[in-house]
Amino acid sequence: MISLTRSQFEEELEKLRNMLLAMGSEADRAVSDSMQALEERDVSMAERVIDGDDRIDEMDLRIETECMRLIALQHPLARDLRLVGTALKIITDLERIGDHAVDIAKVARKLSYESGHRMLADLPRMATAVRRMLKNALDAFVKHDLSLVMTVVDADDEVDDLFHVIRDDLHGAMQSDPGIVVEASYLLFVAHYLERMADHAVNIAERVYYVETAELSQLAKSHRTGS
Amino acid sequence: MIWLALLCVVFAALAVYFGLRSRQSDPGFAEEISKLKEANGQLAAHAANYHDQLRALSDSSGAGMIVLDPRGAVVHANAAAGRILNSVKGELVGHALIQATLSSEMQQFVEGAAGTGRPVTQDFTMPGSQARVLRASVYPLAVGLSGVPETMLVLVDVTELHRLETIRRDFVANVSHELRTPLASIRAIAETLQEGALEDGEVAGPFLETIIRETDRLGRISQDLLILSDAESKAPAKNRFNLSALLQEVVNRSSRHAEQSGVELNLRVPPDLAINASEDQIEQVLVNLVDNAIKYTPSGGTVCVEASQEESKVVVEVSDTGIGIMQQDLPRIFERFYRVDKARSRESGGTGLGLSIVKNIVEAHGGEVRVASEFNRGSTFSIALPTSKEQ
Repeated sequence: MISLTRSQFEEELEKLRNMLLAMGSEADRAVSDSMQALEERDVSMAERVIDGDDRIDEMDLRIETECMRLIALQHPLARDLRLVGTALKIITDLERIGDHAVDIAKVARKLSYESGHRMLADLPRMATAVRRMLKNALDAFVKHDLSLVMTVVDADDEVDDLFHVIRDDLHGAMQSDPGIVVEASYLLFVAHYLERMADHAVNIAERVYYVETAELSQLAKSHRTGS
Repeated sequence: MIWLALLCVVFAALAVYFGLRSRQSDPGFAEEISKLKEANGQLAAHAANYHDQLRALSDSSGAGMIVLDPRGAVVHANAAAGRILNSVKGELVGHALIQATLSSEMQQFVEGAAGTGRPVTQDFTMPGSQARVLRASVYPLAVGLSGVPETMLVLVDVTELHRLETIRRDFVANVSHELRTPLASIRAIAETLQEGALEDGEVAGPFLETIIRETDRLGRISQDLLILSDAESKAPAKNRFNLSALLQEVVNRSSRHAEQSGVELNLRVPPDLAINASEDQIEQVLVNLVDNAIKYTPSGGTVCVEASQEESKVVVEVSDTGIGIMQQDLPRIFERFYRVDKARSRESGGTGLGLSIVKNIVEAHGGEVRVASEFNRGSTFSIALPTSKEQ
């Protein structure tokens, strides 16, 4: 074991925190760009998101390696151990958010080749809510702020409600105009991807809660009921 | 030998000690020490004062100023930096920039720029939901606050500037597009006529009608642009007039259009509602709203115009049971040339400027425009205008 002084170890943990934030920032950008690609039916933007996913995957591996190194060499305890363990969980959520952004980019690419109605339903609003959740979860992580954790958890219910409204709207639109069935069904997928991203943001918030309180808890209603 | 050297050192130390003792008893030496102490105190006070002045100057700046050490940790942040990044100062100092910005893009830019040795600037859209744009300028400092090379980062919130720039760019692109479309159509028809179609009465008639229709459209666009420009640049020439009578007149004039479209047009307005405003401009607003409502309401639907007095303002509502507006389009319908359904709007003779005119005129009168709409159910546009004579 290569033993570090407390302040050196603190510095290592700070570096880990910064790497996680960088990965969170890349995931957020992927969500934002994929939605822009969808709104503007922009193929090149969609391609950029798809290609950019490799960067997020690389960060995932780099952070995992760093966590394993810290555990193996420093044997962290208590809060430090919770932080390193949480980092390992958070990167999985961020990586999945990146993957769903790629899924949306692929829908954007597909729809840009179709001469559709350029429908969007309320998806931009849903994406805005999801990005706010992700930012608040990362902010809670940086600021050790439990009230921000609860903001993320509460927002999940709103996103779930929005998902149901969009789903019903798109079903209604498909029933009234069969010409839009293909486009609307792709948008249903997008709503589903966004809803999953919101769940990942809640996972991150729950992990922040764990770091701060040492309590593992399913805070969101949807997580508790498994709906 | 060693003993001899040690003896010499002891004698030398004793000589220095007694020498200093003898100088301390010297009144001149004591005075010198006291002066030095005083000067030292003054220098410290001066430095503290200078430090406070620098801090006050830095805190009074509207731009966020952050100094980063060679490892990328924040060593100084002014008040504006905290405001712009929505962080308290304690959260910034001692940590990497990304903890406050959550932007890996900006972090990489600052790290890259610090190595170039020259100032660089770039705009960044910040993570989160509000689409904030920050302009980051990086100035490498050869000798910073801690006496080592540091990096100064200046942050300015340029979200509003970006929004206005986008509107300006869209406007120029839209104006040229809107003017080019009818011109291209007229030119194509003129060439066809020139090539012989003019001699064929059956073909020439509809072609000439199209030319007239397109020139009318160009005329309407230029007229609407002038109205818009007037509403923006000139204060409205106000006088007190009877709004109820004006509403009645506008509805009467539109009733033929409504009848042709199979739309029921109703007016509910108390008599003698009066406002202090430019009658011509308000008439333009009402005509645009009522015309739009009829245009986008299918046959069998209803358009209702209502007005009421609410405290110090008059509220006019134009509601319809028409096609409605999707949520995604609502924030943009007052933009110039923004059309929800481009083909339909042009077909019905719209210039894409009607609602911009409404918004500009109402706001120039100190009023407010609102819209509520449900797709496939209908829309309600309401304008609130102040009634006070001073307005």
